[in-house]
Amino acid sequence: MDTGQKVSGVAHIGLILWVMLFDIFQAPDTAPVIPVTDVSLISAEEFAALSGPREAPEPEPAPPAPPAPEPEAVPEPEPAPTPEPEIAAPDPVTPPPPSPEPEPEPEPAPAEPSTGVVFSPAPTPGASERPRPRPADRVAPTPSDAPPESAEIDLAARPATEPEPEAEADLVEEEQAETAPPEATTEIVTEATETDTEATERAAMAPTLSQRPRTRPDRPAPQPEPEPTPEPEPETQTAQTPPAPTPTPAPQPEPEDPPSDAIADAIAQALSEELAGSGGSASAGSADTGSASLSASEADGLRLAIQQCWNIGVLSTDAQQVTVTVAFSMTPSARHEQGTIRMIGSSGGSETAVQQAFEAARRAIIRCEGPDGYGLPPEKYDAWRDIEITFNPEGMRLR
Amino acid sequence: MIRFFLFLPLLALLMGLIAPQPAQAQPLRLQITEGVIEPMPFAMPAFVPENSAGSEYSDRLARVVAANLSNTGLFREIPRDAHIARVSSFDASISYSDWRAINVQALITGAVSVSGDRMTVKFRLFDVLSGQQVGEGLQFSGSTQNWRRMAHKISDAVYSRITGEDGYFDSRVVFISESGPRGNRTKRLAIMDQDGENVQFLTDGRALVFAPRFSPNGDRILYTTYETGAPRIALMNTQTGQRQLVGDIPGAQTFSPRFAPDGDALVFSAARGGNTDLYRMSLSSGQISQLTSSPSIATSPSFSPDGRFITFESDRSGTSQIYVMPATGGEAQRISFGQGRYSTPVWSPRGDLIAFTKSHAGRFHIGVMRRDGSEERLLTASFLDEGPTWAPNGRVIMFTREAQGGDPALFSVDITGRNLRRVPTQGPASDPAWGPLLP
Repeated sequence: MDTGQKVSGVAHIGLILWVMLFDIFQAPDTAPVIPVTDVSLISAEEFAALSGPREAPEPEPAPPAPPAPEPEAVPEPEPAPTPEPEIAAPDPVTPPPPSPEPEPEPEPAPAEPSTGVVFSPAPTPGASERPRPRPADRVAPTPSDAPPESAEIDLAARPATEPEPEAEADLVEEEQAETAPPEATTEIVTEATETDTEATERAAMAPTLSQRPRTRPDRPAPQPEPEPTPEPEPETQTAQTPPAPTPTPAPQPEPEDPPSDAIADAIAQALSEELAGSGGSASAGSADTGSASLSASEADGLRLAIQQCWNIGVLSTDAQQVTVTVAFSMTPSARHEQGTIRMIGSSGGSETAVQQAFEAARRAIIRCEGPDGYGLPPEKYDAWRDIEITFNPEGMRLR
Repeated sequence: MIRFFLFLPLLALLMGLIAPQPAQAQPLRLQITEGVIEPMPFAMPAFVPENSAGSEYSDRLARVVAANLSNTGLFREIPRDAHIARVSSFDASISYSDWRAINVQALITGAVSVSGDRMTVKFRLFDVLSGQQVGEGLQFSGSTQNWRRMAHKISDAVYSRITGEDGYFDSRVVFISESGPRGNRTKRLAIMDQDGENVQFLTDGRALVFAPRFSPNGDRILYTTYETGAPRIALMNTQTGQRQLVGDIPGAQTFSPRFAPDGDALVFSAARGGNTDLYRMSLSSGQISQLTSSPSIATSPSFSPDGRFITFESDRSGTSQIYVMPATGGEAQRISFGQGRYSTPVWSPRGDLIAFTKSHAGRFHIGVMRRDGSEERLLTASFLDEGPTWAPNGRVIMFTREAQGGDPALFSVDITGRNLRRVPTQGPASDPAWGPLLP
């Protein structure tokens, strides 16, 4: 037995002894504490009484009663003073006095009962109470009888006063007669929660038309593979003459596409969808020139700037159906060149409508040009020297 | 070998000739499919008085033109307080930059001169953004009593040049003016300018009248009167005030008349024996022919602008719906299939749309649909909207609106559903019928 074994043996023995002695004597009391609660026993009858439907609670002190609409109490509006005719009206005939007037105006549709009232849950489980109708704050559609003589017209509804139980005995309150507001109505409104004025205002604010959902943008048509563009060199942008844009024959399925092409296609498609989804699209063919092309965000910024000034509200309904394509040139300071805005294509509508649509497009190009022009990058001037914009109001047409 | 080297420059030159030139940069192409819909800001300075008598009308003319344009909802006037440039002469050059600085897009300048009871009004319209005059200047002459009409004419010209639509400001509206307590209303036939001015009463209110309709050229009015105790159709000349009853069918009550586009024929309803059918009458010959004969109610007929078809309402399917049939009668085709009841169809002057009243779920609407019933659009919603009538350009609809417990009033709305506004009238008014553009 070497020293190591001795040390190990002593240590193990010590550990065993420590566990046996200290752990036993100092073991914590882990017994869970059981909560004790006093209970009381009840009989089955008492339980049934508790779980049964309760009686209706004592009515609370009635809130101020809503004023009963009393139409007859409403004073008839003063007949408007008959406007004197500016020009003496001819008196062509002397018709007989009007007979019992058959009302020519169509009667409004009978008001439908209000629906959709949400009831609060029953107060006790197991008892399904019949839902109580919502307290009607309006009266039956038939006019009520003439009000009692004591009903007076007041500016606001005022409940009748009741003696308060805590009131001092010697406090004499002057009773107030119950009054009705002067504009109480006898008819049930068709929408229980809103007045006609509110409905009118809300209807006026609500959009009555909705734009047509955008159509899914077409996938970019497979275009001939452009010749590989040389890596842009910061020193010069026209150092190399691009190879001739040979008309690429029908694309042969290449045995293996470089992965970069697939990524480029995906990016191009994503950019196309993004642009189309935000109200338009952009495409530039500056790659063929070897100059730097406008980025998608830059082109989108230009498009948005013109879009927010394209006002078709003043156009005729015919002109709102016209699609026009407008071309113009830009100065290096990113401003449109005077006198270059011209229409190069149109579809739909009459000649007048096309002209009006072109005028609206022209105003849009001119109007939203800021003090610094359109803020396009000057180093990419070749990419936006000439611009063609198709103004297609399909997203704004009435449906 | 030496020849080869001598040949190289020539080869290079040939290569240079046949080599493609650098391609012209393709334009940046954008497509915009969404714009904005907002009123066009315009400036309308006071007309320049060319003599002392003209100063009386210089401001009034401009106010009427500005109000007409603003009431369309398509234009917004830049207040005169904001004007930088002053128009002191009708022929002075325009300082476009000053107008552009306050965001004016359309500028209208005018001048007026008065000689005796005659006045001459002229105007020019400028596109401020492009710095050009739009069209030629126009000049109108007439009596000073018709100064409002000349302002309406100018409004029509400006409106037409900018929007491409025909104008409608120089037109009149016939309607029922109501007065008195609700249970005993006095209803008089009245006529006014489209903006509510120049009201004239055509009847004295002793007989109940309703549903007036203009003739195509505006010289006559058809309406229904109870002067005999039963509904009868009356024809009135708006110039002379002469009136006669027409469309008499023995034992029948006649009502709901409307002119044909030719101005000679009229179509109306006649109720007899519990049945209501449509009849057509020639005013020149007096001949009456029956168009429908179904055991149901057929009423509210309206001709198409070409006179070939008639749209009307009928309950032959159980509820009130809109039908279209040939103008000479024949099989009717139902065109309304939405929920609710459809009534009072009126054909647009353009012929492309039919306006109608719709009641559904306790509310009333004014709407439009194609002549085949497609593309139905509801333009309004209210406690009671009814009786649409078209502006002469087919762009605006006027109708009767009655709030709950309120008085009827005239409202107008653009067929886009925008620009709902009340037409000012003196007291309650109903049953509007828009007349043609005045010559």
